[in-house]
Amino acid sequence: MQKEVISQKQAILLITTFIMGIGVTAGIGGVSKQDVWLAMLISMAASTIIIAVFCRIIKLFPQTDLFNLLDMLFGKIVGRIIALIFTWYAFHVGMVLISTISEFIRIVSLDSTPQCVITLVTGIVIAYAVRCGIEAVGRWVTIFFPVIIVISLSLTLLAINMYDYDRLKPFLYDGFKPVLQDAFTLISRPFAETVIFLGIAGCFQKSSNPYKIFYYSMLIGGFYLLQVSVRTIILIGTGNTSIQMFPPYVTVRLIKLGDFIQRIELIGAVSIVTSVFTKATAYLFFVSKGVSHLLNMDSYHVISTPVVLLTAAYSLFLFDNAVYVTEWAEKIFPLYALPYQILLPIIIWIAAEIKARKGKSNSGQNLSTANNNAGA
Amino acid sequence: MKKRYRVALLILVNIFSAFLLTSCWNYREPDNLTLVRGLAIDPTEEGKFFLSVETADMHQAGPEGKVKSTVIETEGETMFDAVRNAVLVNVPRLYWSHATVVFISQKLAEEGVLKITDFLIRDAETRLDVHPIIYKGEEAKEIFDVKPISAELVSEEVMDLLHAQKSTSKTLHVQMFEFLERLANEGISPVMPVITTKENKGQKTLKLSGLALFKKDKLVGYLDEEDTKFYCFAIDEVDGGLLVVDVETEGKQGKITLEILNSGTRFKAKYKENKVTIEMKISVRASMNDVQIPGFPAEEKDFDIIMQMASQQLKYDIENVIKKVQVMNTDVFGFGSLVKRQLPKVWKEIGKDWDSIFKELEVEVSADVEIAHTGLLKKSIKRGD
Repeated sequence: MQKEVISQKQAILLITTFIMGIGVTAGIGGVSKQDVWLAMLISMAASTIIIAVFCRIIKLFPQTDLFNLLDMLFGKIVGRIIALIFTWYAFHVGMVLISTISEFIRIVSLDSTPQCVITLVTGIVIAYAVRCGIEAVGRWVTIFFPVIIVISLSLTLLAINMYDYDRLKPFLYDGFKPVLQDAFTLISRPFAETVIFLGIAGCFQKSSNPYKIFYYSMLIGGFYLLQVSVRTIILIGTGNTSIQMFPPYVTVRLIKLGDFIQRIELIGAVSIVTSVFTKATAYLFFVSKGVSHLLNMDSYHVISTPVVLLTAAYSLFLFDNAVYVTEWAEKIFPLYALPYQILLPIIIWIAAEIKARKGKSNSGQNLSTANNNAGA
Repeated sequence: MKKRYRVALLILVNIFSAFLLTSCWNYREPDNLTLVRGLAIDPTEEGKFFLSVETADMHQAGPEGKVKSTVIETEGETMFDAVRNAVLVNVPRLYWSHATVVFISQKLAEEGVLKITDFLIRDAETRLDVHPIIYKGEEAKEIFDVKPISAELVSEEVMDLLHAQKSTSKTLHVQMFEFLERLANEGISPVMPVITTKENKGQKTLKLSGLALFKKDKLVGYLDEEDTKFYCFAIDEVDGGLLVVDVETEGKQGKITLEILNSGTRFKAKYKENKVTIEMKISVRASMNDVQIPGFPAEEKDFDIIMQMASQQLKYDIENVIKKVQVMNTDVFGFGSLVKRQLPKVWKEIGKDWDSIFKELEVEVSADVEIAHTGLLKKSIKRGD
């Protein structure tokens, strides 16, 4: 089977869209209120460290995806246990994302449609995307990324006469603690979530630079989120933001320019759903790859449809209502994701570093054959 | 084999995307909807909610595009209950996305408006940009008895009136999310515009009349139109309007009317010797219009006199409004939030006692009116004797 390859540009756009996918939930700036921009900047600065770890792993073993790497570093048994844990994590988050999309669609527009219908339809679209392969999604993202960016920036510009910049004051009124708390949440979601792309890293073009890919995406995605969250605060204020389920969506509803540009929330909803869809697709790629690896299958394409439909089906039972989704995302997820996003990557990194040194001192041959095997 | 499978999958995906995009599960045609444009809320004696819903009747909208106003009256234990009970009298369900105004009766507002706002912001159909307005009078439902002068629907007429007040600054344009943001934050109290009915040529018509002031979510008092204008100066929301100046100099006496071209207010909170003072600097550019003094102004120094008198009177009027509001003891100016923004450390100490501080708060107003031009005339007409 031919190896799939995505170019550096496609990888950047894919990860950027993945990071932008947070926008749907209330998650941004829950406690830091008007200082959310600071929390965002701090979290971007802090996540450069953990992202450096991801990049280093990819740099040490390029053209290798996470699962083959785990086998190589820890042996068949331990490696597969870690792979199983990672796959479970991606499966769980994939469920949350599918249920987020379906809850969002249900609450904002299709209020009488049974949730299972929305979930099923979303699941089938994601299953199709995963089945088509990472190359297809890479090309898809190059088309839709500009659309999302243009929509979001034009919404920001359209609302420009409604902004009240006083709403960003007072600065640090409640001290530094809530800002750090939010920064911590923001590291785990969305920046460190990019750990998922270790599983796809095998598809990055040989000539591409992982540092460039990850840091560019973090910067573009981070500033996009910064713009969305600041727009929300200066438009409706902190009092409103804290009670709304989907603050960015509500701000779009308010935009009114003359009599002809108004009630354009569906455009905003499309950009939100698109970015969350990309995110869910990336997670389920990871799950499909993990499952196919664990079952010793040649390709993940065959397994993708059952995996995604299973995820969609489980997502129906995950939460009782939408309030739990946001609660879970804000309070439990940062701690829940800690081992997967920080602990395990660091362990893998150290093991990879040792392996790479050993391989170099013994003979360069071992390493390259291992690489070839893994890539095959 | 594989190709056929792909084609089948593609067709399936297309079918399902169609489901996802059309939202046809609860299929509703626009002409089967009852489009709500406005809503009036009254409390009943049993503590229920009485709603009068003004809807745009689409059935009779002919090619001329004229819609007729139809009012549906309904009652229920809660807001949502009352809205649903409307189905008892009118089959097509009410559709709320195009609702623009909510008239709240005085009595209900005095009891607190939180009871009604929750439905208006929680429901997916209603919008945060609906305009809450207090109806000053017996019962809010009376407002739909009025025959609007220029629009077909009362709600649309009120919206037009509200938008037109840029040229008077005698009311404030308040949307639901602004009201709620003021309600949610400390150091600032919300306001709503007020509407009443009045006789005009033997017929009842609408009239905007100032502002209703709230303390938390309860109505506590009113400002009349003239006071509202000066209140707008104090929160920097003046876009236009007139200043009538009484001029008295060298035996000449009369009124001169200035039209405001633009106006800006700068605020500064100060903390000295355990006392907070607010500094307010207003600068107005105006054009001179409607001079009632013969032969005045004649020289350059006369303009200085007018500007000086206008500034003094503006200062006096604004101070007057602040005093009036201080008696009602509700910080609708947002002086508290100003202190919080500019002196956060001070606010942490005094924030909880703000109610008592606001009552005695010292506000230093300084106004500066500048005349930019004098219309088509360079001098006023003289009486030839």
